[in-house]
Amino acid sequence: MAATLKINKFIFRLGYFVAFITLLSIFLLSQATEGSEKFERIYQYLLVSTLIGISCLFVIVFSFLWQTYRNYKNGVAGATLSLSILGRTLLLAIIPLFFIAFFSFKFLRYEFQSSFDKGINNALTSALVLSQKALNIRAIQALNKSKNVSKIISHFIAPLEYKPTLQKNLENMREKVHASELAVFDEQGFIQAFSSNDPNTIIPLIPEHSDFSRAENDELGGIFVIESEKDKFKIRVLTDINRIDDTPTHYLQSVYYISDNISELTNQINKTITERDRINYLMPKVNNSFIFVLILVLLLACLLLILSSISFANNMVQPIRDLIKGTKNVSQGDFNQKIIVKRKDDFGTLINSFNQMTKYLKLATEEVSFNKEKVERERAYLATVIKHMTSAVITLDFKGRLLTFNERAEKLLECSLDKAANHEIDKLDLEFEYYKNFISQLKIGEKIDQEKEKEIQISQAKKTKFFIAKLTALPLTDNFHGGYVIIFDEFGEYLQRQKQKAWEEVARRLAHEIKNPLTPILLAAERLNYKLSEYLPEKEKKVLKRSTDVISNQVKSLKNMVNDFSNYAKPITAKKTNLSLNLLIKDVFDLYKGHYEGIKFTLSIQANEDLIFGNINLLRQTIHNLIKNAIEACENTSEGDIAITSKNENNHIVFSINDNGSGLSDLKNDVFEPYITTKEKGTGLGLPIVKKIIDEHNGTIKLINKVDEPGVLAIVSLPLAKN
Amino acid sequence: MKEKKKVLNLFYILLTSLFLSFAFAKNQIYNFDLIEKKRIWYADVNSKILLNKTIDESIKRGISLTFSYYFSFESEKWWGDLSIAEIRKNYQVSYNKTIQKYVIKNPITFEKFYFSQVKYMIDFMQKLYNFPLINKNQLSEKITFVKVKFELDKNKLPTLIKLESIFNNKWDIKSDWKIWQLP
Repeated sequence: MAATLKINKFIFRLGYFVAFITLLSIFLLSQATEGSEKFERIYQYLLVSTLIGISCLFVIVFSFLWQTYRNYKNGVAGATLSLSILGRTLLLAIIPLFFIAFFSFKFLRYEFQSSFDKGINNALTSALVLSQKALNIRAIQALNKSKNVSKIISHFIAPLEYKPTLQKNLENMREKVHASELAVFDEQGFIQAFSSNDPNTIIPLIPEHSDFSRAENDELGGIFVIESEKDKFKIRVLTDINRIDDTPTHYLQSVYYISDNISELTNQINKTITERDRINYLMPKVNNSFIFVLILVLLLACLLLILSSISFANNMVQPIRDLIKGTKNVSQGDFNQKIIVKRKDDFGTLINSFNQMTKYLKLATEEVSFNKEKVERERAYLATVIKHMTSAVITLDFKGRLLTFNERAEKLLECSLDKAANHEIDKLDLEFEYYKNFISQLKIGEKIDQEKEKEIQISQAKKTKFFIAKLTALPLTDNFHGGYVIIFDEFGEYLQRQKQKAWEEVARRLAHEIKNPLTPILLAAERLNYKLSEYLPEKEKKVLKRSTDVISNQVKSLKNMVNDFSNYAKPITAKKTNLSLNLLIKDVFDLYKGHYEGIKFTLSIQANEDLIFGNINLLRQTIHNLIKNAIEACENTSEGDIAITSKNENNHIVFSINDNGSGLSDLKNDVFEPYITTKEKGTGLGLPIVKKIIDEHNGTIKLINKVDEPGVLAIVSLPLAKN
Repeated sequence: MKEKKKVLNLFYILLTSLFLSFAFAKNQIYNFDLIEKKRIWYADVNSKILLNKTIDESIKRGISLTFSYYFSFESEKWWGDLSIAEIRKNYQVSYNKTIQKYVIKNPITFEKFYFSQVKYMIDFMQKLYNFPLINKNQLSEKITFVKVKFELDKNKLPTLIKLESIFNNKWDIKSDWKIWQLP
């Protein structure tokens, strides 16, 4: 863009330079036309340079006009204004120019000379005729004189030896008739005698043969020619010489000078007439030349005018073009736009204001951007909090349109809430029937005081779910309803979680209240056995030993149980990493395979994707517990069979442990509750810990008593790691 | 068939005559000889000169015109022909209204020749005999050929006619070059 502007500027300057040179050429051309000898010699060069100059200027102007037109067609910013300014400027300037041209042509076409010079012309023509007649009269006189001389000379022409006499008499006659030259020629044109008053003239001018015959046959008795020599007129007469016998015809050529006075006057008339004719001949050409120069000047003026108009238009439009470009950039969000101010006029002020405005806009946008980022951060934080909440959360706007939700909410409401976001509840499809039912039971249209808690029952496909939901109205902002936050959970799970919390509290208290006195009890029993055994008889000693062993074993058993409770009560704070679940299953599987007689272990890995985000030790403990349970179930079976499989389902890895053992006598959800066990020596905390670990990994666990065959199927589903 | 042939023959004759009239209507130099005498080149030129009405009128109306034979001594070079010497034989033609005669003036000797009719004046200019051109010693390089043409010297026209002469070919009085190849 800047390069184009520079080139345009250069071409404009070149155009003005060419115009100046052309103007100079036209001026010199006009000087030459007016008759300046200095420039007359270089007339052609001036003409050529003028035409080249005008052609160059035409090319420059045409290229600029074409550029302006192309800009207009392409919708370049400011092109219309540029064209408009150009048109108006040209209209203003060219109309007066055409007026001047019209009247100039009219004046140049007017023939001043014709009206003034008519009388003078007639006078001059008369003078010419007069001088011609005077010369003719003088010529006829000379002819007569010559004829007389011919008569006299004819006597001296003899066939033999006459020349000396002829020469002498010729000289006498020349002086007598005041002739300048007298010459006698024979019939073949040879000189017979010659006399001249000019000693430098040795031989006379010899007439043509045709002149001799014309002189002989002419009615006047001879011919004459009027000649001019060094501004003097002379008459050359040729007559035949009268013969007195049969001698061959001779001819006399006489030359008479016209008197200086008459010659001078005749010359003057001749010169004046010639000059007049010349002027009359050249006058139309003078007009044509002036018209030609005028056309060149007008052409140059027109081209210069167009060039100046384009320059003016560009100069006017450039700041506007810059402003339009700047405004466009600003509208596209580029606030770094700064237009360079080169002018000190109103346009300069406007550009300064624009730059100031851009600066303020930039500051305001930066502030908005900062605030937006802050809000986004807060929103992200909130979203993370909501997402990681164990309860289901959804937020609605004042019209009941869904704004945010977490995975738990989707899980409980059994639909993907993405599609329901920002839609009015009445316009949702059938797939959101569960959600619609849930929202309608909340009755969010009713007036509520800050918070209300509601129990919701939804029956669908012979299945009834109970929810407990807490509805909170958000505060008003700018007189608008702030919407609602709903925190809800399934009633059963809610209770279970409450129970789990209670058990955790019990375990924690048990661990604290029971574990501490166990060690002193164990030590006291051992001390009792040690101190009393040596004072007691053998029989009593055995009773004491058995009693202290019972105390010691029971205390150890109690300690193990308390440790299990303690583990259950502890919050899981293990560090998670990406790990391959298939490898982990295989590691644990290899520990058991072939170590138990009568139990067949099989492993089938079908999951292609097995990368999960979890704690390897906790998950290892889970798999150990489940396999141990399966082994214990198979202990009373002659041909035990434990099959472990893994496969992918909906971005989850699902692994199952299938046994053909005795199964669970009464399998309900409460198997995951603490202190519920079917084993004689079990603490009832194995499966609750497994459930807790799986929950911590956002997974699910199910234990299914097989219907057609003995045994239990344990299914664990864990989400795959996100990249 | 015969008629068609006749028409065709007539057409050819017409074309030929048109071509001939065109060919002979223009100014041309018939003959150009160069004779060396005592190391001086002399030129003999015979030409056909045609002056149109515009030229005749301008002479009669007081305009002095200069006609000339323009001789050029050329040397052939690898890049083209190089002019070694240029010589002009000028005829300054005017008209004396008082004595009603055409006047040819030699601009060097100021010698004048009078002609009552234009054809006599043209006859005079058409023949140039024994015109001394240049001494051979004056030529710096070896000459390959000499060429001549007859022309109206436009540079010597009055300025006002110069402009007209650019656009009007009536002022274009000139013959083609006639070349005399040196042995």
